[in-house]
Amino acid sequence: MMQMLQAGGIPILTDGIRQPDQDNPRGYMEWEPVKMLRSGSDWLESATGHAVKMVHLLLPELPTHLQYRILFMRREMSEILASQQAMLDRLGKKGSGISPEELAKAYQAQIERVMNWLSASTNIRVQEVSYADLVTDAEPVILAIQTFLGCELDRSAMRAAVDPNLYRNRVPRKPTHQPPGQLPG
Amino acid sequence: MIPSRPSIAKKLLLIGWDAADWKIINPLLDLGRLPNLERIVESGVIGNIATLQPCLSPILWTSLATGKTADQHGIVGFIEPQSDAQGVQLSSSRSRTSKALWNIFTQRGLQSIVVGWYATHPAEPILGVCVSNRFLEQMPVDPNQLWQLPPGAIHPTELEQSLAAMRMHPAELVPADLQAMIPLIEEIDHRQDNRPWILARAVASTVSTHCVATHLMTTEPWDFAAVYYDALDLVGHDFMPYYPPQMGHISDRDFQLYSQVIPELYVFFDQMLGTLLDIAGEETTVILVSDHGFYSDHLRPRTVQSGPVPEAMAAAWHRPYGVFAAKGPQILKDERVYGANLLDIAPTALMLMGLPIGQDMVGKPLTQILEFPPSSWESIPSWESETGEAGMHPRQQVENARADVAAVQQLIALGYLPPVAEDAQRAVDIARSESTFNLATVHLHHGRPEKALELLNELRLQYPDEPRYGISAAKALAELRRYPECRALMESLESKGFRCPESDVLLISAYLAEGDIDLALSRARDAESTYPPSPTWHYLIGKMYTQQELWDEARRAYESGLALDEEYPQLHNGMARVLLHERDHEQAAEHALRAVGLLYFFPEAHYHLGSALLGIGQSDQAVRALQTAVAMEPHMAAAHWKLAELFEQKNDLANSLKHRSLAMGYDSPFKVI
Repeated sequence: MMQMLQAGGIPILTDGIRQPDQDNPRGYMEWEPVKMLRSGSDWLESATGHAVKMVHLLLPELPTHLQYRILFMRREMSEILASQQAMLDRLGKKGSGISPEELAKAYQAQIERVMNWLSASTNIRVQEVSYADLVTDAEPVILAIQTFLGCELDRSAMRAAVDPNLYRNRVPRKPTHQPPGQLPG
Repeated sequence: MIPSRPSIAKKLLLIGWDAADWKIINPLLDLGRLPNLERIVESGVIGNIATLQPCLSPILWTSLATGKTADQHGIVGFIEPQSDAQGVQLSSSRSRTSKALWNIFTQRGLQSIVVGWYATHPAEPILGVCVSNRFLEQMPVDPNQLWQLPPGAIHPTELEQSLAAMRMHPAELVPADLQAMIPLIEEIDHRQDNRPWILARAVASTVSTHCVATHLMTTEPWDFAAVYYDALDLVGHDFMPYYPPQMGHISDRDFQLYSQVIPELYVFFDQMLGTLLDIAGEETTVILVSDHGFYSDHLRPRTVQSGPVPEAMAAAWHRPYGVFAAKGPQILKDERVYGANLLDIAPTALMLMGLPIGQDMVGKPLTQILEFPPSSWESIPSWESETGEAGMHPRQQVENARADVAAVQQLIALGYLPPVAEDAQRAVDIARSESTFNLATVHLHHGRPEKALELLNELRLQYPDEPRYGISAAKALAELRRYPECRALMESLESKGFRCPESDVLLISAYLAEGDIDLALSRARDAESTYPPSPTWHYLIGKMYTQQELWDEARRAYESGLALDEEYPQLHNGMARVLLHERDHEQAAEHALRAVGLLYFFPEAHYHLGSALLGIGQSDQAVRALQTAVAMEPHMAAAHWKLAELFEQKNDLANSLKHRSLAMGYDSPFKVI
């Protein structure tokens, strides 16, 4: 998504601290100060018009005096967990220590809480984006993003930025009882 | 709507005195110093109440209020990680996954007052009033400074201002207020000795709790009130070493200054009890209970609270039997009750209030306290699945609290959230590992050693140098009769220089199980000379002699143990075994009864009780005792054989056949030792 927004012409905030690796060969495109929102958010004042990536749990820490548009990425929970596990394995770190089922349930609950919070916020608009749809048929998704953001984007560059090869840890697209979730991974 | 019987209790007052102990109370009752407790003793029932393991107050008081064990109710320690994993907090009401009594009463439209109960913060939106256990937090050092009320401490919030004004700051106390407890307080240099201040804090907090409780009981409508006082425990940990008789390591001066703190604190508690009883009135059923006792005699440990997990050290002071007393309409007068367990309080409260018991509650209603005990009681599968407003926090918040923290930690590990400061991370790690350890302990003490071992093995992988995890794993292995592994684990710990009474017990048990009697005996004797006098060694030695059928020696060992601690159920059970061999069935029944009275979940003692009752011709009671034994230990072939014979004598051939086939089906017959 970050690669695509950048290709579309939206400047993104990134510090390049986290280098590309096997899990994200085109880079993480992260902005370290986003993790410190609770202790400092001055950088947001000059970030108007920029895109920044953040995990769902940080959204409630956004200062309320600014306006935001959130592209909320949704992805199959099993894919998210598989992707996270692959990253943890590579980093040699231990994860949650609970079963994937419990973890999925906890994430779903967190997302639901955040979505409830978002729907009650008057300074935030939200567009949900299906990761699977984006990878398999990008055009309608890109159109929806353009409409939501209300600006002209370079749609062909955005299409070109979508790399289906990055869609690893995917599950076959079939009806599932598990609702899709959103998390970077 | 769930049907209910007419209630036995018009109103119910549940008073929690953390760590209250009959061993301290009884001499004071004899001296006439506790006239209000005497009112309950004379007009109601009293008895010991067995605690649970781990013996940690938040777990115990939540079990008491829910009738469930910690794996069911979700409160697994003093602290828990914050939901953002950035630190720890006191175990909160959001972590409780079962309905407490006040939730069930709310569901049935009954008004509750809850004051100070463990793990009730933030206060739940019950029908009535809830003043959480963090109500007295954030006290400023200077009494003239603003004393903020922690958000969420009181439900409903309209009462915040009036109740906050009732908090007493310890600086409001003057030395004369503490003079009964410390007669020589004027001689103490308070800059050098902070113990009077520690006592003042506990007294002020108790006064605050009491003022709030009595105010609410007189101004708010209520059907059920639960008031919790923590000072007997808190003060006990600081002042029980000074309680008479003087311990060897206590100086004469300290003994002179502080020996009266504990008894006078009980007198103070009794005065407060009097007020509560007067407000409650004769029509109200009153239950007074403590979650555990407190060693006050020669069995007091010489340890102080120190180490990375102070609560584990503190728990060494907790005696496994607390106080149970009840009075009210239809409750027996001036009687003793046996075999009560903390888990029985919630079912008993429901029974008294005419509500059905949840079948998923582990405890049982104490029908034996009633003048006319019902032969059966109403039950439902579970209160958890009953719909209707129960005054709980949103279910989602409750269910996810622990998993939420784990999920956050995963996001931290992945770099999506900021790392936690080192100290905070250490605190979170300790909270998590201790919670897991506590959960393992619960499984271990409720007959689920496999589950316990699974958790303990995980912990041992992470913390290979923590001996408590190794010892508990060895206990689980012993329960599973995997003695060679148990022995290897304990020998490995010992090779690293770790040895303690518990590790010796496990090694001796393993030697015994492997038939190495000489080694077991020599180890027990060595332990006896290494550690302070302990009934445990006499029990183990007695057990070894029993196994060798050296009955006179076994009897002497058990008697020596009972001389040290007459409330040690395994010693009574051992005596019952010896007396059964001697065919003294009456005495055997008495000891077995004592054993199950002290520790109800004790299948071997129920078996001995059944055998003894059979010996004195009480076959119906014998059947009941033996059935209890096999309900607790279904593989006990010896009990099945006896039941088969008894049913055959009663011409109940179907039951006889059933138990005969069960007895034959178990290839590891129960060994009577």
